Amino acid sequence: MTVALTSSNIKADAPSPGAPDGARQQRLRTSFDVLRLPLLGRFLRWRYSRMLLQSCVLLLSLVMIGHAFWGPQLAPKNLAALLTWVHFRGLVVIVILLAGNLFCMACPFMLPREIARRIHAPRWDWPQKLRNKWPAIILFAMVLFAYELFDLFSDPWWTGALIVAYFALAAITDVLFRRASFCKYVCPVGQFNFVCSTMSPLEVAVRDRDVCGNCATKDCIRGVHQEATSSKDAFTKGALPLVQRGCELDLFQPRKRGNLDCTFCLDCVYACPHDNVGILTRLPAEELAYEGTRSGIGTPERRFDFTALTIVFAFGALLNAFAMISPVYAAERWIADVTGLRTEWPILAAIFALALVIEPALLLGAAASLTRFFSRSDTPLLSIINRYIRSLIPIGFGVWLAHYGFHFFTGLLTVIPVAQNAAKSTGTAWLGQPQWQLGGLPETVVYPLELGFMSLGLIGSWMIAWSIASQRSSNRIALRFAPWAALHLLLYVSAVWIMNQPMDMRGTFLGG
Amino acid sequence: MAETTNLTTLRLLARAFAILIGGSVGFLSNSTSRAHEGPPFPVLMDQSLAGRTVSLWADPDIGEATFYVIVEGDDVKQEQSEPTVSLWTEPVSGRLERVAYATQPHPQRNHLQYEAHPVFDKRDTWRVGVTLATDNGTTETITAEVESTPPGMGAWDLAIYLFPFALLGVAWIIAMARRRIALQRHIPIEHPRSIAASSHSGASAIPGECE
Repeated sequence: MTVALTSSNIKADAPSPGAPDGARQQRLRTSFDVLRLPLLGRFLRWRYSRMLLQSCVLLLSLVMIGHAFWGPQLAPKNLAALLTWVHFRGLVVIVILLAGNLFCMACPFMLPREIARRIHAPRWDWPQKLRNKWPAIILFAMVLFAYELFDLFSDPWWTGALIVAYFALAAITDVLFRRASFCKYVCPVGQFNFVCSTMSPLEVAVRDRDVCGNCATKDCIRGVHQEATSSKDAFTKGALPLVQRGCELDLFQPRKRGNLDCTFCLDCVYACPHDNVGILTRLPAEELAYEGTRSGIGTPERRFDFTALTIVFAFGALLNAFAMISPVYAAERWIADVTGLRTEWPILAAIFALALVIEPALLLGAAASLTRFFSRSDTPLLSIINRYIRSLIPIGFGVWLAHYGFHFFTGLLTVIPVAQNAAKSTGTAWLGQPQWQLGGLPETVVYPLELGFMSLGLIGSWMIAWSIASQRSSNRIALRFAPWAALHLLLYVSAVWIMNQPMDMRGTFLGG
Repeated sequence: MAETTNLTTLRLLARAFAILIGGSVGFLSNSTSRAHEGPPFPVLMDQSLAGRTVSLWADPDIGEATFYVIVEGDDVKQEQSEPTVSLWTEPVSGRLERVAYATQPHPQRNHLQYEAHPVFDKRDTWRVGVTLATDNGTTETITAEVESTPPGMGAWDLAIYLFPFALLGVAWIIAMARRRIALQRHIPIEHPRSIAASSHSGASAIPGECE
């Protein structure tokens, strides 16, 4: 029997007499529901909680932008560089690991977009041909490339310019195109968060699927429109003003699986007339074992753009960490000697092409070929890769977590003296004199954390690969699993090797 | 049959994870010289030296260490020639002679950055001096004390720190395997369309659906 893991803690109630098995399934999630918590739950259910969170982050973003352009241009003394590359990145992955995609929930780019939409309502739908992850994948790779090429880590001015560009791109996209086009199709940070949040312990999901089965309005996706005041209004209800949005990312709650494409905006929670949507606990990575159609996404196993996104996510994790250590310079010098090139960008482009295209193609092709050989099937290699690619997400997440966690934990308290220094520059030291001695956790503590995160990532990848290998047949599972397990181990060993290299200047505040 | 398979999976993965953690501890505890070197930290910040604002950042690893001297000032980029910066080190205990090191300048946006690579032979407290000489003949020195970074951890330290991760990993494996077993026992394969069939409106009526 083929069984895929589905949503967690689903209780099958006693069947009602006379009803057919499939129809009488009562699917009720008994997981812990964050929205039921006394204080936090009440706050999150408050309609303006998201706007409050966004306002706080927007205010912080404005301070960062100001400091980026008018503050000190030494990265370790600048709030924009420090908060963006040390604290924000670290917090994003740690919060996703411990809770969920809360950064998208508090995303500061959405407030200016909302204001802009009040001035100019969007009139177009996002082009059909671009309704995939390719625009975001290209931007994701470009951000990684620009980060290395321009040493954004050590450049507050360009970091500020990047933040401003991000605000502008979000506002322009969503002023022109309806629904959450920027979040779903353009935002590279969003795609990164979506993929990471498959590892989260929380998920926005329905509490009782039977309630959805009997729901006539589907407000969770359609939104709540103003009450009709006449029979004519009732006839054209869809044209009445929207008082509460439904899911702008096209995730229909009863058919939603996991966290892919979910921004935790909670619009579905506010829209549901039956109070049937919660923030429920589940097993991290559980959704990766699920194979099949998901609302708003289709079937990821048949979408090569999802495969490409996962490749950039997993191999990009290694590349991003590799670029902060000394051997990257040796590689650059070697390419320069061989090709005679004297400018950095084509050399860096060659390293990116090697790490994000050639290496994945060879490794994934080899693993898929072996799986096909052991399965004695004639399935196309690309189909096998598309099925197994999601097993790379846990190890990729582990590497991101180790890398960003390292910067975050070792520089945890540095925000205090930098903020004190920024306050001092206004004329009075109203936050006190800068306490420059404040740093973070010692490396002796952070290093085992890095190893632990990556080891958990490896074990997660193995579990998912085993699950995929056992989904279609109970024969030769170990043989089908082995090539992917070897690939995961190879990525793990590479990551451990990278984390054991002396960090070069590029990986520090002072990199130049 | 399926349950047996899952239990075998559980045992296999738990065993692999134990070997992985044990192997990592064994391998990494024997490679202390390769311990991950972290970002530099500030030793001196915004000190006035020969009319400039100077900061010293250190990555004082045993073996070849790295020190960064940051020279800031409004006119620092307009100067005809860069100031000369040198750095020396000596153990506070006086067990070794003072050794001077040249620095490499790396001009940055609105500041100058100098890099030096002194050598520390073992874990000790070192006195570090930064000397800055300008065109007009002013030469001043500032000193600070730094402890060289100890080598990586031993096997027991690593094992202790990694123990919670090992517990988490095993718990995760058990939970995933139990979930699979529970689903195989009680829940039939659920096709998402079955929900659409039971709902009042079909899939095509849902805006944005792309199945």
